[in-house]
Amino acid sequence: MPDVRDAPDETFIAAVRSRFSVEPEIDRVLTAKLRNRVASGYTAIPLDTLAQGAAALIRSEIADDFAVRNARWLGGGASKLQMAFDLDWNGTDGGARRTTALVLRMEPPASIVETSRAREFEMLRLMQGVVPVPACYWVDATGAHLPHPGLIYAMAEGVANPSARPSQQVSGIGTNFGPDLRPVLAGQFVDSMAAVHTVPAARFAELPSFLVPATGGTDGIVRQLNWWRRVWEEDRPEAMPLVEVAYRWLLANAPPLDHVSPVHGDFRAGNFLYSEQSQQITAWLDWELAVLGDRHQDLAWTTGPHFGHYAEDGRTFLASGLLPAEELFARYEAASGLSVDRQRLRYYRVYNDFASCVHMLATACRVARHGQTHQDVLVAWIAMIGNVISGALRDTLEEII
Amino acid sequence: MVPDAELQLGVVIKALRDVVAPAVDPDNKLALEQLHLSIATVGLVQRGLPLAHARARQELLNALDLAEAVGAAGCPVETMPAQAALADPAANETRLDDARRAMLIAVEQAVADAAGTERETAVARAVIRASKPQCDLARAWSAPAGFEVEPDALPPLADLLARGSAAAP
Repeated sequence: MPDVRDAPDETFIAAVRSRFSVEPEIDRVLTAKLRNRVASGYTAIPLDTLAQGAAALIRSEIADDFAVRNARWLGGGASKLQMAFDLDWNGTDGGARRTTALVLRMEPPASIVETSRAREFEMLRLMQGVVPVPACYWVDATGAHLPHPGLIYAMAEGVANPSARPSQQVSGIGTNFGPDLRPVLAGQFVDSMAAVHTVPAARFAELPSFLVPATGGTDGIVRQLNWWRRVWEEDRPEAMPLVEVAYRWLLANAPPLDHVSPVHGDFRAGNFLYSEQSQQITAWLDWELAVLGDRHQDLAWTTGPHFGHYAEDGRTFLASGLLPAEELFARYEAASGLSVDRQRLRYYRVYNDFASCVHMLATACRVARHGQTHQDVLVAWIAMIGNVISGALRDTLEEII
Repeated sequence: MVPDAELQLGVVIKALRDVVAPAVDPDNKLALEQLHLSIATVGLVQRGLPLAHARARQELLNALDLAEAVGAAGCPVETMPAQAALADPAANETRLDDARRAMLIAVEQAVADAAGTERETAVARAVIRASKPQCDLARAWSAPAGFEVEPDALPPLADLLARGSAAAP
């Protein structure tokens, strides 16, 4: 069957832009995605090309007195292409010569989630001093210097899962930290979430690529719903009426926002690094899905069934492989001073499953079909989690409609 | 025909696992991850190949049940092409899948059209209830990928394909 999504024309693009109102920066990246779809399959980018692009970006910021060395590929993650390298330079302070280990995080022609490097850069900078994050140096939001949009930040030390218990899954899903490390990381995990969610609103001015939703209103969540419903319209390989049912229910039942928080959007095991020596979290990563919105989005996400596992007793389910959900909520309330509302949790569980269905059953299949990433086989593999999530979405909707 | 597809996929897996994997640079994590996923993906295809026709028929039957449920809730959807494909002994997987996709588009549009009407809740409930067999089938089909927290709680794949298998001409 011919599908306009295979080669979207300007009529189709104008129709989805008109139908689904989203934040301006989100509209920019989604529109660019559609216009690039026909032009760009993925062709392997040599390391030298990436190193030259990184050098061009750095040169545009600090002139010529630096050297890029030791470029090498980094694995991990399901969406972005990552290169580690060393930078010989005098630092942002113009001080003594030094070598800094850095990471270039660049988009492939299309990703399992199409997001904004400008937003990720701004959010990483906002989080400096709030939670451990890599120092973020430079961003190429439009691909002016790099083959595609990307950013450069410091290489963070640490591991995502225990070297003695390597995850059997991709992207850190199902990480088992073991009974000794688990309680040590659990406290830091909850404290980090509380810290992220309580950044003062006065600092949101540091996020020019984000719209700040109104407290007491539903404008923020409606824009988020439109974001993912638009992506469903743009990317889905086949219709799935259950997704439309979920979207309609979410629109009709959107709760007014009681407190505006930075929301990570993928807050779970697998997206933080920790030191195996000190057992301290050293970096929170993957801020590409961050929004200003409702904390319950992260709370529902991190306690979702697909990111946890049972403890050694075979009965206690551990959210994100760390602690039982009820204990997480109680500790979060104590750490943040914010309430955990069960109705909102349920709402955002539906929202998260709806958005994940879009990521996995629409975009992942679409970009792999078009051969647009550096790891299509991983993207197509991870798409199968969409079947688990759509089943969970159906079960939840059956309880509430 | 000799060699058959099952044999060919089997030898690909063996070659990748026994010969190619040990030759990959152990420091190239991206290549190693993709190699192991390639082996696993070919294994999934090998497992699904003999079930391909039953899968296509069962998915179309599930979609037909969904369309009829939505119709019973007050939003009729055209089902004749799907019924014709199911009745045609010569219908291959492509035809069955095309009929299913076309019907699902119509059902999705019916859901959108029902929004804000007195039929909305009935249609939503019909979709939710009638989607279960397809959700279960997709989960059981993908279960070897390892994303299920409780894979043993899923109905057996053979049960979920029973009508598609039994009705095959």
